[in-house]
Amino acid sequence: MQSISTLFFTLSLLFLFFASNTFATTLVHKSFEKCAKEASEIFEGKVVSTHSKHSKDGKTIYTYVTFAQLKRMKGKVDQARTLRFEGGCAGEDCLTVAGMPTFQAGQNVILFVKRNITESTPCPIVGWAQGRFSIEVDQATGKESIRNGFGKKVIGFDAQKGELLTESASQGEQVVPIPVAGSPDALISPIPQSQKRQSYFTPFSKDEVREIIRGVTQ
Amino acid sequence: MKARRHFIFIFSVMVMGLLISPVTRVFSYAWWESFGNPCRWEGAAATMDLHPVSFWSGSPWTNNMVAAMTAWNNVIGSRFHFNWKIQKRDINDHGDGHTAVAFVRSHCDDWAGITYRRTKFLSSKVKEADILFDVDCSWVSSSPNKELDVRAQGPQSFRDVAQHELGHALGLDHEFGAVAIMNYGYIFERLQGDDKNGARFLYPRSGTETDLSVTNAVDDGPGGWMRYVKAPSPQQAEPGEAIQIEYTVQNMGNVALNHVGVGFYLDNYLLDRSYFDFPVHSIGTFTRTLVIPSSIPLGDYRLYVYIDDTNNFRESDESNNRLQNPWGVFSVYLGPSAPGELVANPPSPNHGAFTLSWAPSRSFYSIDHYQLSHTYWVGQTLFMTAFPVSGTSCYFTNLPIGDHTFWMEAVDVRGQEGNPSPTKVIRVN
Repeated sequence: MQSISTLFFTLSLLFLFFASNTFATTLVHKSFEKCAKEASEIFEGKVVSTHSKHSKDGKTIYTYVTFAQLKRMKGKVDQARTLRFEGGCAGEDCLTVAGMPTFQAGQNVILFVKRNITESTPCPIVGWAQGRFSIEVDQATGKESIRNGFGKKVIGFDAQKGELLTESASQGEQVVPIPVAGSPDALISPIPQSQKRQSYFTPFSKDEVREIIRGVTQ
Repeated sequence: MKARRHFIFIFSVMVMGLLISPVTRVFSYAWWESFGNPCRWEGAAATMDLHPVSFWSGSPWTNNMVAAMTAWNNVIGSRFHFNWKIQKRDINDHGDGHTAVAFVRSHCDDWAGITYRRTKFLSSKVKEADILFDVDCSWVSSSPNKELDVRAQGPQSFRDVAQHELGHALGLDHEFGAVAIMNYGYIFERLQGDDKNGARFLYPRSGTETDLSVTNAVDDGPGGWMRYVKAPSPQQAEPGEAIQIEYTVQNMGNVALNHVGVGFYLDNYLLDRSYFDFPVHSIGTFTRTLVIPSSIPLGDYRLYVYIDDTNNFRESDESNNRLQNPWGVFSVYLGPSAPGELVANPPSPNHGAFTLSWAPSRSFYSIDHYQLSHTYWVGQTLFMTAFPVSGTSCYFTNLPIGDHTFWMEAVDVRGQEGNPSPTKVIRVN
């Protein structure tokens, strides 16, 4: 029996190697345009509650996040929506799923919800963090900005690639090698924090994101 | 009682937000912590139960999973150790205390590999870290000597993804903008300095490592997904021409190294050499202008960057000092020379019928065709035509009466255009 399973598995892998053409990492990479097209519904909403509990069989933990004050960007949207994400803390146990989007009450977000959510779907968002955006308002200026699911400020849209552009993604300053003895090599990365390119761009507003969604889903 | 319950609920919600959060420091590597303590395995070891349906003894998947674990086990300065056995476990149970590793079917819709890490509330001790791979993705067991661009079409290297997931399992989190296997969109086929430093931070032990490396991964600028992509590729140059390359060098070890040579080569021809001081954990992407020597024979070469090419430092891994054919074939060649002077026969053709001939061009590669152009006036209107011709002559008839100005250039098989021939004015009677 096991040898049959093994054979089937091997054949499956061989078939898939030649049949499919994916590009993936832990997460399968999806452009903003692809996320928008794959989503059955896209909405802006406010996180009003999060609640975690064990699954019925006790084998895993789910966090239920409820969103309210929903504004439709694509598809049919109700007044409130609760989505289930694998992971969270329940009782004495905590389960962390690497890369899973997390939410806190009070956050304003834009979500791209998947088309086919089943019992085994760990995350109902298209492309996980790739289909999750948060809306922030600068307290001092009152200006609004959008951050992608990796926490990076959205500063533009590359229509050719269908990708949103974000501020430089580096974390903190890095130590760099130092050319010596008149070596003419010029450092191009990591660029100092003070020279990061985001200063040349204006952060996107949700209306601009809404316009792009409208454009790519028509 | 109700008030107490209310307090516990509020407290729980506050705690949830604080409990497990990613932490970053000056260095790029990131980890998860619980109430200020990094999440770690007790005893700095984990036993991975490889599911026998996916990982049978001797299969390439098992071998590459073990190789991925060995890479983490061999980090000098880290005491963490992955053990393994082939053992059937419930792959859906993320709370049974067993760390299961298996392939599952998930349509390769959102993820290729996924890690579930279990801890106890208020504790930073990792109890379990199940790893699943999606069999519906396209896989190869490994990609030796190859760095993958995750945005390119093609199958995943199982060993690369396994190394990434094992990094999660031992306690590391995703990171951005770093040359690291823990990068969200990692493209590296072996552990990088940043990965090693993350393991050293979580599970420190004594021991120094000297290791330098070079890669042609460079900063992609703002993009949203990942920062490091492959450098643009110089493909050809003429003798005496200057080219510009981009490359990334890093100190993968945990000791500072000074006056490290970096050689730039065309096969065995040393074009130039730079020197760097490498502080601990240092990494940088540089541009460098190189001049192709005028005396170098024409031909195809491998252009590469070689760190510590004179082998002044004894390293734990010498195999990552040289980019293995990073930019493909680099050609040193001459573009087509200008064709010889155009000759018309007869020199002043009646009724526009004549043969135009020329001396052939020379090129390092074959001449694919010539591009013949000419202009003429009809009244006040200027006409211009250009068309490809083969051979070294071309027959014309019925050209309009008047002066025609001809010139041509050669195009070699690579599409490279040479200089044009001198112009030739032919009067058609």
